Amino acid sequence: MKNLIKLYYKSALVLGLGVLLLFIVPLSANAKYCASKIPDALLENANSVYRVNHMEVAFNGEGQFTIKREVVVTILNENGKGPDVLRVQYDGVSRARFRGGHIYDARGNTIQRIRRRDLSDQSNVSDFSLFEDSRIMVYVPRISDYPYTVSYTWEVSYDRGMYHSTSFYSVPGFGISAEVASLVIELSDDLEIQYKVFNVEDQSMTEETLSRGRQRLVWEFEAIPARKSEVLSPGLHNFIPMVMFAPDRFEYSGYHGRNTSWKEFGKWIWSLNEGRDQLPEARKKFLREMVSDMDNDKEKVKAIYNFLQSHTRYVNISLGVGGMQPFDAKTVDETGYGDCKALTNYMMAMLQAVGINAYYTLVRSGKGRHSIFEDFSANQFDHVILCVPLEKDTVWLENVSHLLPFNHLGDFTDNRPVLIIREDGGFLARTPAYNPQENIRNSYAEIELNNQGHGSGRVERRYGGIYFMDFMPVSRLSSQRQKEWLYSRFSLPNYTIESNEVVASTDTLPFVMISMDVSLRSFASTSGRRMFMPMNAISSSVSAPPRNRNRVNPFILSFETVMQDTIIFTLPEGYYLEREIQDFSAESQFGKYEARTVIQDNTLLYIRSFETYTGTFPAEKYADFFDFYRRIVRVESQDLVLVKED
Amino acid sequence: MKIGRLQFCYLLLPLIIMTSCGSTQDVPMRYRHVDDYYLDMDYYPSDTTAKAVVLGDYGILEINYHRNKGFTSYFTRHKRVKIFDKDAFDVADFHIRLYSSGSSRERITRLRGNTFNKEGNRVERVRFSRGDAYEEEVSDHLTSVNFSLPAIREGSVFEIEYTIESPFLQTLPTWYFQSEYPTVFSEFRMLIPEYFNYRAMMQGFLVLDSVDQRRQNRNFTVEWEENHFLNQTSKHSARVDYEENQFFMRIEDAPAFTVEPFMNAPVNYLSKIEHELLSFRMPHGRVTDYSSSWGQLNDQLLRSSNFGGVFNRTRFIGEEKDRIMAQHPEPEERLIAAFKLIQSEMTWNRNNGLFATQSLRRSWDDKQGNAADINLMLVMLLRELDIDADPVILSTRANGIIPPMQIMLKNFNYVIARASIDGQEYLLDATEDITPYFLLPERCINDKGRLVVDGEGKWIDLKGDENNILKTESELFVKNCGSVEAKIVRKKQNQIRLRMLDNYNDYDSPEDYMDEFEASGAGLELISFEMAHDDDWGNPLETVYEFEIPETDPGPRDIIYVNPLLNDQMESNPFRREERLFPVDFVYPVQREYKVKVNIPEGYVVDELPVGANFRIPGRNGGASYKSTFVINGDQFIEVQIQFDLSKPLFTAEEYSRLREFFARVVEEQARVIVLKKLS
Repeated sequence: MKNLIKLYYKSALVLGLGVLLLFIVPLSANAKYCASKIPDALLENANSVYRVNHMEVAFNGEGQFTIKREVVVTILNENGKGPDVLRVQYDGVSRARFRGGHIYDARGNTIQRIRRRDLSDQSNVSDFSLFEDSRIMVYVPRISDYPYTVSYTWEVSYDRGMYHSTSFYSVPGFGISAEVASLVIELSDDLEIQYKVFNVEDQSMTEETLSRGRQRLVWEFEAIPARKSEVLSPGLHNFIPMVMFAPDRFEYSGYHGRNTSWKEFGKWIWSLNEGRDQLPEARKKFLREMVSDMDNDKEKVKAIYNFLQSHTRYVNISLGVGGMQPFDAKTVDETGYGDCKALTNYMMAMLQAVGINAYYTLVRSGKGRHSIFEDFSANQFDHVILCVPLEKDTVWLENVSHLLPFNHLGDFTDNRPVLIIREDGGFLARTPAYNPQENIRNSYAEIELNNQGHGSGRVERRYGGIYFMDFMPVSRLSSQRQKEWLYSRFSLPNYTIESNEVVASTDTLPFVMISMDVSLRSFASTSGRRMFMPMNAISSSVSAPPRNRNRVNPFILSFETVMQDTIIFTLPEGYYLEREIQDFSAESQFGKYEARTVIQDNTLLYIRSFETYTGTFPAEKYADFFDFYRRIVRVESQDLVLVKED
Repeated sequence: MKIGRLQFCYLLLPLIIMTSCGSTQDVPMRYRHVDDYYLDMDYYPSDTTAKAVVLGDYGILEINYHRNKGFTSYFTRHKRVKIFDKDAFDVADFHIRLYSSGSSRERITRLRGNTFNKEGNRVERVRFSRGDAYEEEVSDHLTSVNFSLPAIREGSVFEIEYTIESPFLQTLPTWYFQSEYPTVFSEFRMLIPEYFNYRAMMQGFLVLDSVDQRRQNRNFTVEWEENHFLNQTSKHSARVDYEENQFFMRIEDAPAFTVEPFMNAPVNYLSKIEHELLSFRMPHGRVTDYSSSWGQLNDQLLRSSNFGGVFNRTRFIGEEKDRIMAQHPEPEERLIAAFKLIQSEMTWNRNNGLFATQSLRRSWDDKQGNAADINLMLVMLLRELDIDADPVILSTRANGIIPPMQIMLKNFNYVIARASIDGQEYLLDATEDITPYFLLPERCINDKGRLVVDGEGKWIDLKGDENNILKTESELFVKNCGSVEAKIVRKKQNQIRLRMLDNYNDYDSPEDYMDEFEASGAGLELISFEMAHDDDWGNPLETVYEFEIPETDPGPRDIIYVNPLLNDQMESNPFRREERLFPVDFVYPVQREYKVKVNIPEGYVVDELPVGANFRIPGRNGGASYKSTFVINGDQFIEVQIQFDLSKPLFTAEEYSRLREFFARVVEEQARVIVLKKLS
């Protein structure tokens, strides 16, 4: 472009050419997308700005729909890259069409056209999966002159119904603003839609009736400012205008379903699974014999769960009915593998064989409090577990892990609403939460310090609840490998592990116990007559969150945890304490901390406990939260000072 | 298992074919026949920690004459694995990659497998067949055949056997004798017609347990048709006798390969063998050479339309060239101007690349390209400016070090530019904006690269610059309550500067970086942070931090303790393990210098001062050294000086224990505390 303008000046005298260029210049500039036209309010905290964020969904009956996207986004800096990347996913029952795109420079001049052949068409297979029937068209703009603007339009038509909920985010992430975000839904006259609008005061939309009873619904949101990304922030759906929608009816591979209630949606899942729970007679007989001498149902479930864990493995194969239909139990029995649906269905079938009823259960998985919107009855799930109601209590089984203890869900699926699938439909239930006394990280240590400052002794750590699975696999390593793992995990100052043991206990309250004998070279630093001994180098450390001087988002503390440490130091003879560690305690809405020391002859007993609380707090509270932690961290960094007696 | 004193070797195979051993001709492992011993085995005696063990991995590569396709390679692999632990189940997942180019493609002609499980006294066999595999198109030239063996449990033994037919004969499949699991035996055989002359390259810590080479007479039939007058054709055939060269290589009891910290890419250390075609000669025919010398390799590159060929068209950059010529009379200034031009105009698409993806003109128009597009363009522009410039090809760190004797194009994956002005040499990589003209980015610092010129070319050292210097000057104001106020000025040069900029650019805002800095010291409260010279190559990058480490209790103290290094203190030894098999690789040498001025509060005197230390790992090619001094200057302040140098980037496994000890002492010394006492 620069060259073109230069050329224009050079040849300005050549009238004919000059006129031609005068035409070319304004034609190639799309002043609409000039970056300087973005209002200041939308530049604040923003790395990229949607000039247009448009989605159009047309439902032409319960077994067919089309999604059309039109995006114009300005990337302001390197960290804003991402929304400019074009990704169009499709699969065996859909057709994708790319309608073209452009890249504009800061002034809105076209610098590049994006054509179909510029897109790379790849198989969309995740690393952990063996085969997914999914493909993706990708285009990544490679521009580093900021700001620049990318526009594109694409469309995917599906020869199946929309069996899941779809969300339209006015902006898809933190650090992104939007000038205009709009959603249009068109429905054929035989369909209705359910929807939920988030974070908008005026929830209205425009509605018009088209020919042949078609309905057209339009939501339009303007000037959505960018949200800053900060640690512990609640999800974006708490802040930005968003619409979640799903049709009331859908059809997929001949399976008809309804989203009108959880009960109805559950019936659809039931219909997909129906008849897939048949096991070979031999297996049934085998299982009945296996549990024949057990009189307690829980024991039987546990035995069969152990059988599942040792005879199957997880392979992600998503095929058939959008990956919603499990492989039948017979197939799993033969091959010994399956995905979460197939293995859960298999487990359910095996329990049925010994007369125990269990329910296939849908869940939204993930660490932290991943939740679904309970008032919106359409598929929001991505994982399947098994619920086994027994006489006294209910057992929950995760069927894809061969390491998890019986009836232990871990933080992947704990404490959240789930959908139980029964013949008569779906029912919401809730998985159990770990109580704070289970989420432990405790230390016990005995350390002897000699007059050179070197230390030696025994360190034990115990982890349970949500921490259990972080450490459990280590217990299966050989002693030598455990040692290597411990070295990579624990950063005690200049230490050598003399012996080590990691044991997992999987009884009612599972925990992992790590014990090691260590020698700690120069554990206490010497300076003339003095020795400086760090009090907290042995135990799990507390670290402060980032300061976030200008915190804007509220914050969520998700887990109640407990940390308890007892360390017994044996001090060398002939030293006195010049500085003791003051007893310290602090309590706030965020947690409770206490540390104290007891000195008896030449032993020093150090006891520390730290409980964290849960809650959602406004941004103004963040400074208090930071300060609470900073006080603790500062106290913990103190050294005990010993001085040699004269 | 033999490990040759743990010495790493590069060997040209023909040199070591001295020994001969028994009847290696028998197939080492029979399909479907699994010894009961392995089915019953519940751990591998040579490595009880192993979660799986490769019972046998046998590969045979044959080149045969195919009537329609000509010479074709057939690579058959038979692998058998015992699984002890669920964590190793993924060893039963396979992804076989097949290449294609135009109408030539690799094909799987056979694929079968078995899983064996012992149920009581009975061995249950579950078959795996071709139909159970899924084909996935990875890209235009690459297909992946994916499958997973059925009925895998703890205790299973499985085997697979497959044959890949390939028309691509220039390089043969790489054979790895080692993997993350221990291996009972790994054997590779090659049956190659006399017409083909391959160079073999062996790499790794393991030594072949047996090697053998033989010759065998064989023949094939060629058929052809001749067209005569009036469309008459006649068919002919002839039998061709030839000698087949047979190679046998075997390693027994190979240990599992484990990755360690501060290590260059594992591909540098795994035991493997590779083959590259040197030449081909048909009976009575001409010898066709295939990069059997650097001269030929260079020639091949320079003749390639995507390498040497790109230099032919230069007009598109003529205007820029004229401008630089006019503005900069001095050659070095021209070089810098050319470098800056390419660097700022072109965006690197983060792909490596040995060949240009399109004409330089098109890349110039697109303003983007891979490393070859960008750096070949730089070479071209430099030449246009009458500067002596040539490409240097190299292998990035992730791609592995180039074995010096191996002349194989496929080892290389990146191009940079080399220029020479009056005997002064420059190595240039214009891909990233933060790299000055006198530095290479870390990914390129990987032993040696090869100069591509007419003729042999030569090795070019790809060392990191020596002057990677961090200078820290700080002033500490100690309060009588024990609080410390500090001002720290850091100057970072060369690679240290690049690392800082790389890191800093990852943060969304300066505040995020400040939050991170604050977290580096317990109770540290950052007051201000500034950065200067971040886009000025001529000066070190300067960062200035002002902060406070307050004490909770504001009352004056009788005794105050201060560690003058504050948050710069190294609190634990990065080398925790007691032993090491592989070299420690710091990538480039680093010099760190700390000058700290500690202001003593009024009414206080120094009660105890650390004595300072001076220790080193000496070495002819450099080593490591640490020196600290603590001096009282008058009664107002203490001066602390620390010089901490790693003057060579690479420490061998033999040097590891000394390096670990060295760092242990650094941790010890940096924990030393100054004690101040109130005057009574």
